Amino acid sequence: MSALASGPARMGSRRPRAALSLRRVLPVVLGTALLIWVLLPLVPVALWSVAGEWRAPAVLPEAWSSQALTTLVSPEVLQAGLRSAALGLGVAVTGTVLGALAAFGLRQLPRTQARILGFILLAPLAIPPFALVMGANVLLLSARVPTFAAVLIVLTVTALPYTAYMFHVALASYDWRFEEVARTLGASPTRVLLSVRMALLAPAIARAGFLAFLVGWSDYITTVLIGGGQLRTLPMLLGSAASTTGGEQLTAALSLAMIAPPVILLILLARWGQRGRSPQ
Amino acid sequence: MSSSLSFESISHRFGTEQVLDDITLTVPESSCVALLGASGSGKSTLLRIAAGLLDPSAGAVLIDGEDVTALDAEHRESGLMFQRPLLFPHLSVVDNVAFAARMAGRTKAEARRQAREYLELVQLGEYARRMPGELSGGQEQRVALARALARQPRILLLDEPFSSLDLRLREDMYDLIDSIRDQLRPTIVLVTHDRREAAILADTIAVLDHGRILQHAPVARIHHQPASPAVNRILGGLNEVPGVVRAGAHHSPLGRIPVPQDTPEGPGLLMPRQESLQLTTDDDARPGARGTVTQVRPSGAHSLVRVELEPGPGEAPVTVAIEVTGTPALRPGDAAGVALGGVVGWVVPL
Repeated sequence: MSALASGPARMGSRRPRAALSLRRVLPVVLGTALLIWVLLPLVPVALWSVAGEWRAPAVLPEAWSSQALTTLVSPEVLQAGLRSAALGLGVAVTGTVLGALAAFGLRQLPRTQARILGFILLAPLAIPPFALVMGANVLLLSARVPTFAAVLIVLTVTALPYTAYMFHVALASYDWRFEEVARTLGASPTRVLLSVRMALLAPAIARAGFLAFLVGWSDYITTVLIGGGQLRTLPMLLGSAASTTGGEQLTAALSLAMIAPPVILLILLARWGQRGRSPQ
Repeated sequence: MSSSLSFESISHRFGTEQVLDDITLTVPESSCVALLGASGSGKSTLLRIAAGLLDPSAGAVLIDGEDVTALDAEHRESGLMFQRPLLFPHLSVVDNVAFAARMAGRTKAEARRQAREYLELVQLGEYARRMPGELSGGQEQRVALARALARQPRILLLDEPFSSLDLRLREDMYDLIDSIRDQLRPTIVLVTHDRREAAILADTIAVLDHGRILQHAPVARIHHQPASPAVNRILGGLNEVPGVVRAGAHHSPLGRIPVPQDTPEGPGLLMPRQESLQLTTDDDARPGARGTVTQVRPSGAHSLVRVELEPGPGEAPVTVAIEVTGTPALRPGDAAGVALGGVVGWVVPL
């Protein structure tokens, strides 16, 4: 009798336990699969960067060499890296500030006007980059805008849809009463901006800044068309190496050099976006 | 720390909508006034005007007699607490409470030392290092209260601060407010739609409806002597008995009820609270009326009994509600007697 009575209870407890273990295991399996999906293509790149000789069908390089990695610290590559970093940071700062202003401005408008302007802001995503750059190039050349500034301006326009969208999403759930409370606690408008608004929007700032950095850091088409080959950035060197026969080793090393800074920046921004801070 | 607050002929419009209409109200130093009204009555708008977060379309806000209407919120020295605690999620509990001191230019150490005193005041001293996300709803509201108090405000403004808390936590917060009033004697303006909360916390209640103050009076008086049927209803009064005042008494199906001497003669609504009416038995000596029970609605420790009174000659039938302790052995259709517990009734002329 007792065995019968306890039967259903035991069966009942097994099912939730099985479901619980599945709920625990599934995210780990999917997460691992995703990680492999992202990291696996980097394995051949990493191997190519130190390969002296690697011919099919060999699974691993037949000879090893650090020549390509040594090239990364050559003056030409370092200067290109600095130009790319300057472009990335420049686009990150201007794109993030303008994206924030655009999103705040949209919130002030009536719904219909906000929708129209929101569509215009997103328009650069719909226009082929080539067409956008060619059109802007004529305008910037006639205005005699210096090359670096011209590239920066066009890339900022390209980044604006991403940054504005990030802030638009963040502001949708932003509670303005935080700022009202801060004001009643004696915070001036500047302190409200620095100690409350920027702090509460830190994750959005980090995301927008990162996306804008990527636009500037990894751009090729705009730099080629507007820079006319004068502005040598890392993607330009990478494109050049990739189009050269037998340039796989350098291509792989430059690819790694392209990947490393955004990953480091992503980690730093993720930490900044998450941590708590005292009002300064 | 505390000051008096006055609204002088405050009016406000949102577009074409008049949300506040000629509000004049004084909150004496160290007192607590509840602004009671339904959603859209304008009570929160009035609070925002008091805080300096909204400029009124017309009128003036005075603190200790000084016109502060043009003063920005950050300079008005008021503490504001909303229904949501709105603790800054990027700051620890102690840094939330220290926020006002930091904005005033104090060092971090000094601000935190002062903040800990206010956290002790709300009995959360040991939670100083926690982040807001690690607190319960009640604890968050306590921290929000400590943060508002740490501003050392001249006026403490509470905008439905406890309506998101469960009943037990609300009772705890009421005790806490009592304790803080004893210790700091702050001037408080409380916005609420909960008449019970208003009655527990406030010294006086100002009833707002459609942007106007219908009545402002001490808690007991506004309950038993409402200025109008609207005030009576907003304060939960269920009874409006039409009749005629003559020779110092109100005559209606409820019987002859003595009224104050200065009550104007003529048609008038008697508004006895349901708590003031009592069911009587056949052998009850008190004067009263007879009627038929139409509804018995148990509500925990109390029940609400509705009785349709027998009309006199030329009188329309009237149903009154009586709140009784426990659940009476009555059913709809039973005969019942009704009498007013007090000596004097309250009548609003028709």
